[in-house]
Amino acid sequence: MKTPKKILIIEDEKTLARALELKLTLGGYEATLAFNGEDGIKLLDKGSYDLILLDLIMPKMDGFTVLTILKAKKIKTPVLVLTNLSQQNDIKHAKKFGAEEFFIKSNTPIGTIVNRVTELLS
Amino acid sequence: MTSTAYKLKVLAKEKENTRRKLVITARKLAATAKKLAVIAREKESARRKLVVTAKKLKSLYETLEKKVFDRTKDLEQIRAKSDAILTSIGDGLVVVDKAGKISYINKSFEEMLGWKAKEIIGKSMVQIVPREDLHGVKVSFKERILTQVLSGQKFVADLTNPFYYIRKDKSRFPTSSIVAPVNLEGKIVGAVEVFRDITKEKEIDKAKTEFVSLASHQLRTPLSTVSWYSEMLLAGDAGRVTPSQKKYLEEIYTGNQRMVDLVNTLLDVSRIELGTFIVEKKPTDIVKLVQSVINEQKPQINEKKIRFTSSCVNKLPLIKADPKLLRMVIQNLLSNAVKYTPDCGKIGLQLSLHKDRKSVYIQISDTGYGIPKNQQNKIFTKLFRADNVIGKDTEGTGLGLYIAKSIVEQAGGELWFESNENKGSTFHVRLPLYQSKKKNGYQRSFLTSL
Repeated sequence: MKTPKKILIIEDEKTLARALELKLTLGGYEATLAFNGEDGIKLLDKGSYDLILLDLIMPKMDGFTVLTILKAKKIKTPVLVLTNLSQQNDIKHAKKFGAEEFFIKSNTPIGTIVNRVTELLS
Repeated sequence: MTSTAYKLKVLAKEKENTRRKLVITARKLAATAKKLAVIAREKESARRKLVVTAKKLKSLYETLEKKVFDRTKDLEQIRAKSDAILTSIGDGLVVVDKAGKISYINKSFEEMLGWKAKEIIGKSMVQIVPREDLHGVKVSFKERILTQVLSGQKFVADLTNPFYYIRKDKSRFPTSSIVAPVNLEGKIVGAVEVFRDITKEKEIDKAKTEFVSLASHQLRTPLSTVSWYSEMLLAGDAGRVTPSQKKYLEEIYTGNQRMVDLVNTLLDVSRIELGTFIVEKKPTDIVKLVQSVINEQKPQINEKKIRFTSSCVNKLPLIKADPKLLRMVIQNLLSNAVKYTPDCGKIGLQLSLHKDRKSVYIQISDTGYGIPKNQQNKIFTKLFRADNVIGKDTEGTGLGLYIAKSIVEQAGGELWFESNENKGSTFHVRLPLYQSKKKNGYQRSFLTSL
């Protein structure tokens, strides 16, 4: 049996993080949850992931800092940013820091996010 | 004896003559005395009359003098009262002559702007007190309201678009002012400006807008939760859904989507009002953009069996614009036309180069419900919805046209309309292809160019 691809979800909104976990697990992925940036980085130090779903506004450590650390650590795992910040400069900022794609959660169906994950990992 | 007697006789005669003469003289004297007495009486009477007249004159003079004194006192009091009123007005007040030179300022003016009357009387108001717009750009002499009022142009106070006055110490404060011409015999001889510091009002307004912005942001997370979980249920992620369950779930999903749209719109409004809309200008193909909005609306147009015609000039120059905002304008106007046109109606869209060749012209007309005449002046007001559509089965927030107009005007364009109730409406948009240098200089403008 093929090993499922590993996805790290760094999102402080637990209901949303769990929704993503459910949907991704159903899609055949192995999803791991971290509820703030700091925990996310700790998980990344311990193991490797095929893709990261990252929120931007979080307690302890925000998504922009996570992106900066990833860059510094030369971790090349693709990152999809999921946020409710919708200003163009936030998108630009996140992309500048190496985010693969930027989704505004309230405007994006969960199916679209999972489809994009599948596209990126296939 | 005889001789003596004769002599005596003669003497007697002479005496008699003398006596007679004396009598005559005495009589004459008596007559003269009488005349004199009459004259004297007349004179006395005249003198008495003169005394009376003099007395009367004196009294009249005194009365008059008192009246003058009282009147002067009254005038002084009135003047002092007017001065006290003008001085005590909480709003700043400045009176200028035809040349725009300051002829009067009140105490509030002095306090608000830091100038003393003696320093600036006779100097040009426009030069002494510079004015900046919301973006910190100095308003030119020609564009100053005062200049426009003095040159006889009509000025309508726009309190929603405040500006800043610069104090003597170069600090600034937000102001709202009303300028009126002073007319004398049909000629403008000067102007009066009344202005107030609206720092407080602006703070309150900002706090309100920030609250809306924050609340909208906070609402997005629970809305995403409802949206994602109902989507997953609909997809059968939690097990098979019966057709009626599916129907219910769809209603939840659609209702939630409406809320998402509303929250997004509220966020747009708060960004417009806070000036935090980030503008990303790039060369934009407006024909393509309009076409994509049309395609997006096609399902609703088809559903309502609306006859849609469009005429777009094939080649239009690319315009330097923020496509996201430009899209918002077209989207709002077209979706309104679709929303407020009953089934089987007609909608037409035209896109062309404006006759001034410096702007793009867009026209969207419909055969819809139209806007009642008495409400047409309110149509661009935030949250306004016309009476004739509230009862209809149409959803609307009353924010779309407010947003569209704000975007177009900030881009230096115009948005206007004509409408007849139950016949339809036509909306016109004129958008400049390029912006003037001044507009491009706006640093914080949410829309520097469309």
